[in-house]
Amino acid sequence: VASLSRPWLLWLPIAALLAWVVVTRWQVSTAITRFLPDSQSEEREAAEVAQRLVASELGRVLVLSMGGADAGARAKASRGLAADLLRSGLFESVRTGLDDSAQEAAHALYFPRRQYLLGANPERDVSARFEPLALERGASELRRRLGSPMGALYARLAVDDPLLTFTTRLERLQALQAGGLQVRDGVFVDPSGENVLAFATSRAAALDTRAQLAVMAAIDASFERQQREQGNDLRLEMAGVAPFALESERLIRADVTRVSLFSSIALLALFLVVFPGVRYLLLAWLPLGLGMLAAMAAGLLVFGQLHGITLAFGGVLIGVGIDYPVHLFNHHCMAPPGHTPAESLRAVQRPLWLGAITTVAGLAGLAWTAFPGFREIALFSSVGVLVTLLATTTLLPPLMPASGRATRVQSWSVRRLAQLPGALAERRGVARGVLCAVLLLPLAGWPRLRFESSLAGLAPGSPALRAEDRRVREQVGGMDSGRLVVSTGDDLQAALRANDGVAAALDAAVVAGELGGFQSLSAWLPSRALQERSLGALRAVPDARGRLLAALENAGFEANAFAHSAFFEPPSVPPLQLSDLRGSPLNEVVRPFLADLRGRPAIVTHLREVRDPEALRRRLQPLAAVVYLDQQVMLTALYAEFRQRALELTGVGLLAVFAIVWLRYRSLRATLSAMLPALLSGACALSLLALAQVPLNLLHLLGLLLTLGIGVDYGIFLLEAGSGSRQWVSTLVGIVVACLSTALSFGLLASSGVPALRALGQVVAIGVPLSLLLAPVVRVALMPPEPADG
Amino acid sequence: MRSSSAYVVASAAALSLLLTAGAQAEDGPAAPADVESSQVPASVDALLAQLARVPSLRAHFREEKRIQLLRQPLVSEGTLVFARPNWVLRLTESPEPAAVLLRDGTLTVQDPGGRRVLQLDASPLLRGFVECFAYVLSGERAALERHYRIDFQARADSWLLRLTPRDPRLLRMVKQLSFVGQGAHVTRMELLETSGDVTGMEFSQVEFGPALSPAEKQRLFSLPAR
Repeated sequence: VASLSRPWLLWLPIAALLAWVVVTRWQVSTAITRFLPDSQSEEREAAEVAQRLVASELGRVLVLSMGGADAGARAKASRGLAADLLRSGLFESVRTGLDDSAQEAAHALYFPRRQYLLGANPERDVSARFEPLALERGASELRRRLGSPMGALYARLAVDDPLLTFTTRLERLQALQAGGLQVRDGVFVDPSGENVLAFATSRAAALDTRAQLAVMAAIDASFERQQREQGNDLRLEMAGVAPFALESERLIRADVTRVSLFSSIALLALFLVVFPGVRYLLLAWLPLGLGMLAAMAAGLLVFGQLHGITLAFGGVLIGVGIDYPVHLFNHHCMAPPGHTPAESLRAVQRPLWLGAITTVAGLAGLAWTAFPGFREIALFSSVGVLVTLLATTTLLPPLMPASGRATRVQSWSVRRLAQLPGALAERRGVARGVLCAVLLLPLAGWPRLRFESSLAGLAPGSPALRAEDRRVREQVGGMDSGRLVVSTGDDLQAALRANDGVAAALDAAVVAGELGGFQSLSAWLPSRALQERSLGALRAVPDARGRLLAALENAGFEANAFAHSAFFEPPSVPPLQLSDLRGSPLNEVVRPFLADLRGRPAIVTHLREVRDPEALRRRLQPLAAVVYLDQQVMLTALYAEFRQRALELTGVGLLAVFAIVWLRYRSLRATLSAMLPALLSGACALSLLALAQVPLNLLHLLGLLLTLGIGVDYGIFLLEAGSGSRQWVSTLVGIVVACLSTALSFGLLASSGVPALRALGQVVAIGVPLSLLLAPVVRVALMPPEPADG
Repeated sequence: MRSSSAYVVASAAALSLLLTAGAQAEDGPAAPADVESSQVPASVDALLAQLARVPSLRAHFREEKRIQLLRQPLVSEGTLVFARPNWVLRLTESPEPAAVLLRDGTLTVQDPGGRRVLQLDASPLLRGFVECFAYVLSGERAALERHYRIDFQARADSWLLRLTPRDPRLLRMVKQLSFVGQGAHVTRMELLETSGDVTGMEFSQVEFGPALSPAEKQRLFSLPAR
């Protein structure tokens, strides 16, 4: 009794501890950046910035667009929504528009500082303004403006700003927004005027899906209220990171639930048919549950979170880890009467451990990749597999029935399969023929292998969600959400200086036609250095006042009126700082440009209509602390790098497996007979997909790795069982059961709506059953016949 | 995210107001007999009712701006087109071609210096300002009173409407606006700025037109190609 209870005593606190870790640290992520390499490459830096942006305030912004009803109702709905959301306490800010206060703030902040704001390249720009021809043009422009219907405004500012620097600056700021947001009735509207827009920044991180559920519920509830009050024909659409995160999580969760449920039912049926009694089924779940729990705890402890894809893999582990108890039970049931569970364990222990170690070795290659997501998967799977086996070997034998008894299905299988080795052995020629025929399949499919050139196929979001996101982003100004320039620095001023350089380069790009436009913080807040350069450049102009007065005199102005213009006096205020804007209504305007990347200030520049990405990249290349983020290009480059690495790592994994198996058998023939079924079936699975014109992506490669791991197990089990046909047959029965369960699980994954899970499922669901079919064929074709044990 | 088009816009308001002999008025069938009536309205209410019945008009204008910063007044001439509720096109022919278009809450100025687009209703102040002017033509006296002090004088053969802003922010720029007219004809508009600058606009060859279809408006109210 004591020996029975001992493993329990050991495992119970471990399970409790693991469960505690999982419950208290539970955090799921869906960021595709987890699957980007973290080497020091330019792409990685860009990816890092992209990932941090998602985590920053910018990632928490939801753009809410309401259409339908009439303009007045929309404006009221926009304000009502903002009030509700702010009241909910879930949002840090909700911006719906600008009012007079912003305009007055712009005047109060920028007019007294106009001398600090004379251009992106002040030394050149200011002296150019004081060229005789430019002064003449400036004077006649002032005259024209005074004569225009807005003359009253210009007249007020003319004396202290005769070159209209403040006015043109404001106009430039406005032009930067051209095609973008407008304000009607005090609320933001899109250029068509048909939709009101609000920017809601949630307190919770975009990928904190649990919190985002509450955020969405608050939005829905308020929107329904707006519909009741302003009309049922109001429509709401949104853009942002959170809807994608929520959809991904929902899909993955649904798939994992579905796969787990159906595979559980299938396994139940399988167990009831194959094994005597429900007890075996219940026992089989114990090591699986412990393996899952350990895998999740390890992932959470090491990485702080689990990616949805990693978790899906965990669901899949059910299909793989179940092999271990299956083999143990199978041997026990089919063993001669009187065999104790401990004896049954001894019979299968070695192949099981060898199989598990090769599986882990195959996955371990992933641990050395530069892809955090893959390291996560490697750790998760390795821990899961090893703990499942450990629990199988330590926990199960004391709990199993003392003596096994074969079921009708098992006895029948044994009878049928017992003839197989003999039959096959007599037909080694046939086996070799079949082997050669199978070799042809990869040869046919290989040339047709087509890898997706980008990760787009794996991008989260249903087409409908992506279309909605695009529509709303277009309303906000057609800024290209996939293309950004990010300037960073050790402090804000350093980042602002980098950002000034970006603005100057982009100005040139717009002039050169490479870019349609951009929105930069530099227009609102140049660095202190640039502002001081501007003032310095103005002071450096020789006899600026005299030259300007002469030009004004020539254009018909009363020059005396300008004699005491403040434009030539020292400014009354210091250069503009972020704190000036922070304390003003313009804070809302500059906020979307600023992000905090783990303590480093970052400034984002939004781009519109990138017509020549390569030229743009070349312009930005020389700038320090500046990253040009082109998500499409970045992902494509990373993907190509990934594919290369994944193939290499698969090779390395295979070499590791080969080495382990060879160390065990010290025979090339044996090693090949263990590995060839897996290699062939993996190649065949990819070839079949290629022939079916399925473009391959990185998850197919991952599926290949898994197929190899499982397939090699089959090869090893059969090889280990080589001492006698009875052992061989019972192993084969075990493999059939294991294979059926795996095929079921992955077959279900192959029907998943998540492209990543689907890819994984396709390869394994084809590859693993093929391994099963090929294992005996290869065994017979390569190995010398064993004497039957009668 | 919208830049504060700020004071440019505020000023735009001022002028958009100036420009518009018309502006927002409630749609309603024109009553040419009334409109053409040259009778001097007895009260501000009578005047507003009369102005509100003009669906569209076209007039020649001559503007003279006396600006203290300039030695000589600036004189310009051209055509003004208006359609209810608030569509205005001002085409300046001399001294140099220029156009100012007010439609859809947007003011576009096009002159040899370039094209500038201003969101008139980026600011409630500005919007209130423009709407106040519309209140004149739509006869909403209460709303008008909220924003302006009104002074109306009926003379022998003409009337005079003087508006003084109540909002101190506007008052810092505009001292007074006055309209002189006969019947539903506005013959002169004057803007007196706080700075002392004065803009006077005389209207002649005023033609009242019918209510315009949306298509006609689109065609009529567009900027000439540059």
